[in-house]
Amino acid sequence: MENVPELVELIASVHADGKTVLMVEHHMEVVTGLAQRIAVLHHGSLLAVDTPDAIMRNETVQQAYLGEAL
Amino acid sequence: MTALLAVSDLHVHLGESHVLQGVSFDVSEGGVTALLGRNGVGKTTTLRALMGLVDRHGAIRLSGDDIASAATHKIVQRGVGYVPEDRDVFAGLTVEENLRLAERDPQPRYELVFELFPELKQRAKQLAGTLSGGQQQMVAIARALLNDNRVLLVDEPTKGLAPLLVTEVALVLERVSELTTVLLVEQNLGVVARVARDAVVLDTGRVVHVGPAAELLADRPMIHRMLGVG
Repeated sequence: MENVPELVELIASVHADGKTVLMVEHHMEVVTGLAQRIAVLHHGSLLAVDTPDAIMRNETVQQAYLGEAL
Repeated sequence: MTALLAVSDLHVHLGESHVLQGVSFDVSEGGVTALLGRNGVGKTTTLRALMGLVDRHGAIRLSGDDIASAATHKIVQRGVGYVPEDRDVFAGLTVEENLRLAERDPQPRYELVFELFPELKQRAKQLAGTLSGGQQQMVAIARALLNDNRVLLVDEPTKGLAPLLVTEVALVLERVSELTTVLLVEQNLGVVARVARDAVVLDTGRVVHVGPAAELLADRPMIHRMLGVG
């Protein structure tokens, strides 16, 4: 976990250099901190594509993917 | 409280590296003891040493019996279950076959396993290699739960899992800890907070902290200093 901020910084710098990044990640703090758009797949189907805020509020995504916080 | 597992002055060399440099700690009977630390400090090596999967020197006592020089299969027969990092399921075998291979007790606890992981019953005939990471983790934990082990060593069970599955695994660990003693390596401090009673922190091959998990997690400067997070 201690390496996560370094990786986030590295990916953000790649993006800041004008590159498009397609990232597969479960760590939601990382995802919402870096991504402008999030696509959620569930059992091989696209469940939702939206902004981080909208994805986090999406009830279908909450039920199928996010679950309840510990 | 009785020490079910007592580790004393444990040393492991891997190649040129002196990875464990005199690790000592006790795991009390019942509940979850979390083994924490930054990347590369020796957490996984500690579990592998307890299982006899790497050459080690020092004392390891299970209920007072010395198992430090015992072979892995003898340690397993004494009731030590192991859920390795990255699961290590047999990809070319079905879920059912993976579970059958893990049977040791005359009456394997399939009822418990399928109560905790009903999905595994539905996927019994599916090849384990075609399962998602979360489903493979269920198989890995289920294999250890089939037998009535005295202690389970569980290595980063939530690594790479979706948030929903992280919560599910935490709830399973909570339930498992009511049945047996667990030594848990875990990076997700939310999971540790939910399930662990005690915490042992390693740094560069040595134990640097032992105490109640809740006290450690409440001390943010200590968390930052020892684990590099927060």
